Amino acid sequence: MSTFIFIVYLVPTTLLFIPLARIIAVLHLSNTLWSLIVTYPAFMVPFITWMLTAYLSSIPRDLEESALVDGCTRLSALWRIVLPLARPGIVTATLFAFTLAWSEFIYALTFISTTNLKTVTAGVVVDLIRGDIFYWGSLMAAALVASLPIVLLFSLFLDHYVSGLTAGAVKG
Amino acid sequence: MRLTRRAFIKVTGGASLAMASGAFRLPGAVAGPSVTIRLLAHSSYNEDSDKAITKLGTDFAVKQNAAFSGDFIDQPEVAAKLTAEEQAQSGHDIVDLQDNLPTIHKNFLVPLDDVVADITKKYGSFYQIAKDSGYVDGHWLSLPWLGNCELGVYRSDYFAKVGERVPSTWDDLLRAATKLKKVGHPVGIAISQCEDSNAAWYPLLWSFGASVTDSRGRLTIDSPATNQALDYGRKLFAQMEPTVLSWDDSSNNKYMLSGRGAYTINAPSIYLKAKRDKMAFAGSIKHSPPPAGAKGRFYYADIHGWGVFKFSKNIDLAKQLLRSMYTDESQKLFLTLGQGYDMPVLPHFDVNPPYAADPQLRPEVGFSRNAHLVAYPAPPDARAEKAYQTYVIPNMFARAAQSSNIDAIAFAVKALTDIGYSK
Repeated sequence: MSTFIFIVYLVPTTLLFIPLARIIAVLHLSNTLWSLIVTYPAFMVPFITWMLTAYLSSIPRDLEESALVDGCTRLSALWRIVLPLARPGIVTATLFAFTLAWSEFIYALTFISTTNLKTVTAGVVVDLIRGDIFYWGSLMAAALVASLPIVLLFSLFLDHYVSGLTAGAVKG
Repeated sequence: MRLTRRAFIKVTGGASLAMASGAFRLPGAVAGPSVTIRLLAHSSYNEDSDKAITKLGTDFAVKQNAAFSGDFIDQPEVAAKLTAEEQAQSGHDIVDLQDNLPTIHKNFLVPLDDVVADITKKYGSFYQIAKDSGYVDGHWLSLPWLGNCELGVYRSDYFAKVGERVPSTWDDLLRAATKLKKVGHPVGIAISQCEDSNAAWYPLLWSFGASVTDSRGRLTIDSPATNQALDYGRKLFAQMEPTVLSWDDSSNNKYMLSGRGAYTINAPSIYLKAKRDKMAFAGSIKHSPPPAGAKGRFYYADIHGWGVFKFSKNIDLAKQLLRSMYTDESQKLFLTLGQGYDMPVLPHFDVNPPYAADPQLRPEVGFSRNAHLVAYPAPPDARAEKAYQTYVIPNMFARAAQSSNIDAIAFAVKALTDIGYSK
């Protein structure tokens, strides 16, 4: 299953944008931000699923079983035991998903035409390069500003990358 | 707050009904004006060129009680946009098609024979290079609109300093390059993966009697003439900055505008930028025809034309707009705001264009008369575009500069064969 999800993730966006363009046109979402909201899960869901599958499988099943023995239902064991333990993985997956969406280029380029709707990644390239003149000052400033949310998020959640939360949990 | 089962059903049921009845619509999915003519074009170096097109479109739309929307994007991104719109069967009505693109997108384009007939009846025929680009399989699929030329751009003061005149031939340039390097102002022509590099090395190849194919599209790159051109390229590279191997399209502009470079091959954007920014040496930046080789002088230009998509809901209106862009007033406005960066593709408008008043831009007048697209001497096709987009010729010269002609030609033959060429 995880191999299949991984293979789905490997389909390049430079290929996927072609059928997706048709879907966006049918939904009358061309040149709207909704075109991106609807299509970004196409590459984010496989990525997040693949990432979390690997992380969740590293959480010992014994913990879940212990919770069931202690009176938890399946759902409450997931809620009370597994999800808190998986928090570093969820945070990491969220950060990477955000970074993927933030830096996505080809969908933003092809589905959006109007300058004031463009995402920063597409807008910087499309609007700040004119022929053989590159507006380097503006390009550099835009690249810096665009990188700030990513830097900020990674700085804030750096500690959650530490995935040793489960270490020793099942030992005597 | 605790959400009861009954409240949940009320909220979700109400939302479902609203969506089903159309009361709720996704933001942005709202219908726009009744008729909007949408145009997609490359963003010109000269922002006023885009403004001119917008003004022409808007003025026309107002008269038709319609709206006009012009989207201008960086040229390399146009291809992806066209592909997406063709697959979606939806998007812009009028699109900018450069050089070989009409032949690649021919299945999606409306023939514009009637539009071209009206224009040529009034103003005469287009330049041959414009016809090469827009006329595909017996039909005009693109209305030629403008040309961007590639000239020799040189610093007259630096050339005077080393006792050289404007280089008329590639040999003149090599001789001057040796002297200019010694005084700290080397010649700089990109040998890298950028459009300027294509624009320099294809004409050089032709001027030595070599070409990618013959007139019937058969591969002829492996020839003694190519060997001579590569030998020349290696000698010239030795007199240039080694960084030319990694230049992008902005590099030669920066190189000349920094005051270091003495010569390059480029559009007039270097001069126009220096003039606009009132740089002290703007008056010393001059233009000349591209250097000649043993087989003559060859000119290269990019041609941009307008295509109308078959899936457009405004085909007739789009055609009318294109007709309105070819009047004396429209052309005067466009060529004036174009400031010499954009050239006319109809000889009628190229006799005395507004920018010709500037002596430094006079070499542009009539440039397109003898210019060719990269497929020369064959007609344009998808293979020529792919060779252009994958920079086979600049890569061949780069390999020759760093290894041998045999390696370079073998590389080019393989790359071109992979693209689809054969002997």
